[in-house]
Amino acid sequence: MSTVQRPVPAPTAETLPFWEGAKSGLLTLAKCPDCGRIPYPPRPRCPDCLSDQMNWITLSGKATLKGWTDIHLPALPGREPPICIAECALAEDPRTVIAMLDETGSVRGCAPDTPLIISAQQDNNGWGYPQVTVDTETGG
Amino acid sequence: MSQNIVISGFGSSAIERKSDRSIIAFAQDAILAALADAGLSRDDIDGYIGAPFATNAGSPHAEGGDEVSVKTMAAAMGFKGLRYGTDLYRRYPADMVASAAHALIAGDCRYIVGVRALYNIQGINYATADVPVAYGNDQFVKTFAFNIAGARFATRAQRYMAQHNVSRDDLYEVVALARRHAALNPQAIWKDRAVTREAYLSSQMVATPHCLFDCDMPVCGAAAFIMCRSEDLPSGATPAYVSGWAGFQTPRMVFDMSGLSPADVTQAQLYDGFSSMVYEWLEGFGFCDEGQAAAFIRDGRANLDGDLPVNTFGGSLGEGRLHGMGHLREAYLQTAGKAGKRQVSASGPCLVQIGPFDDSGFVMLTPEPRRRVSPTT
Repeated sequence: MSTVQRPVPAPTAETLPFWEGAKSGLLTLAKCPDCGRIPYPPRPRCPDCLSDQMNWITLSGKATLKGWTDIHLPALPGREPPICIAECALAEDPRTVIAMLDETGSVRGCAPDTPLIISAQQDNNGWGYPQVTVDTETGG
Repeated sequence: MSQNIVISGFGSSAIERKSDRSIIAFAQDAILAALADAGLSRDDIDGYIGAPFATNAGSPHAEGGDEVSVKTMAAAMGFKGLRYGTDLYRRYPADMVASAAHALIAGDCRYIVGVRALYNIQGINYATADVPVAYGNDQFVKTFAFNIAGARFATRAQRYMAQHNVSRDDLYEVVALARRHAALNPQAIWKDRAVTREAYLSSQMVATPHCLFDCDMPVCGAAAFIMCRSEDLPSGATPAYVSGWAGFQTPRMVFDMSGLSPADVTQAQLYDGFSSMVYEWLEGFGFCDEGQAAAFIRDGRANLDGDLPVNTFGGSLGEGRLHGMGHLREAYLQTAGKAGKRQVSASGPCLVQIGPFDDSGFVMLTPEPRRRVSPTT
């Protein structure tokens, strides 16, 4: 059962703006107006103060490297291994860590906390997916 | 009615890379072996606890295919009077022990069997995120292939190793320890296969920094245990006392409940689905300082004759992926003095940890009864 495309997300009300933002090349998440938490994956309420008044914001894309790996298996259709994945801690709230592809493998061999920049890429399936590279302008 | 709860028997099926027999056959073999070990018959069983979940990314999660529930096993075993029968969703054998203890303390049942079975259905690509649609949490996991090959443990290991100057040469020591201990475990899938440092360092990478040897081997196999109150111990059965347990958000409760400290522990069975996982709780519980777990293993302190023997049956890395049932079984055998050639000399409290760094269950087994301290009274 090959799909020759990346898995398509099935958004709910709590996740749709994230995926709509990614289609526009943006990283979009909901922030708690009361305590500043940015939960990921997006959740119905803030997990700290349980506020349900979450505000969708466009993030800067700036992040730092938690850790990286190369998957040496054909894990995603249409991609040859190694598939490089980076865990990114967001500048706006470093507790928020997002794993995404580094299509050029720029994080390979990079030290923890290397500056990163997150963008989003369009897939031929019509969806956008966040991706990351080392932020060379910040000195990564 | 005593509050002293024991594991009174343990049994395993054969452990095989693949099989034309079904998962039900493996689970049944394990239950019958556990009954024989405890000296009980099928009709003595009035309780059942399971935690069925197929661990491979591409699993079909098929009941009777690669998962078995209490409903399927009760029918297959001809259990007729289960007073308690429950499966725990996405939990571990340590949590099964806790739930079984709850049922026994409540007096719901007298002899409860705990069952966990794993299975590889042939012809399926297990290591793939290739699904047409990613639902629920998978929206944020499978879309980035983050469910494959233990990616989240690989990224965590990469950071840890970079921060603490730990190399793949060090990771090899975890694998070598597993294979040394597996050589003394007749059930271990790698019992006759040592791995040289050279073979390790040149092997196929799976998810950097983990190579093939750093990943436990998915197998067809099952294990089962019998638990009861101490006064119901069958004649001829050897007990291991269940002196403490803890869920994933309160790990230290396993010590608080049993009135023990890490210094009292004489051996530990620590989950090793990936080699780097062994570091987590050596440091998490303070058996060594932060960043020193690799040195702890390299210096032989986790060996059978070390000051804290770890994964004395070879771990999942040496035995095959029974998803923690091997760890629990070994804790029982060591605590009951039934571990044969690999029996450690200082047989005292044995700590069992099963699961990932952020989602583990914990059990403390002891050779003698201890008064458990309730965390809320």
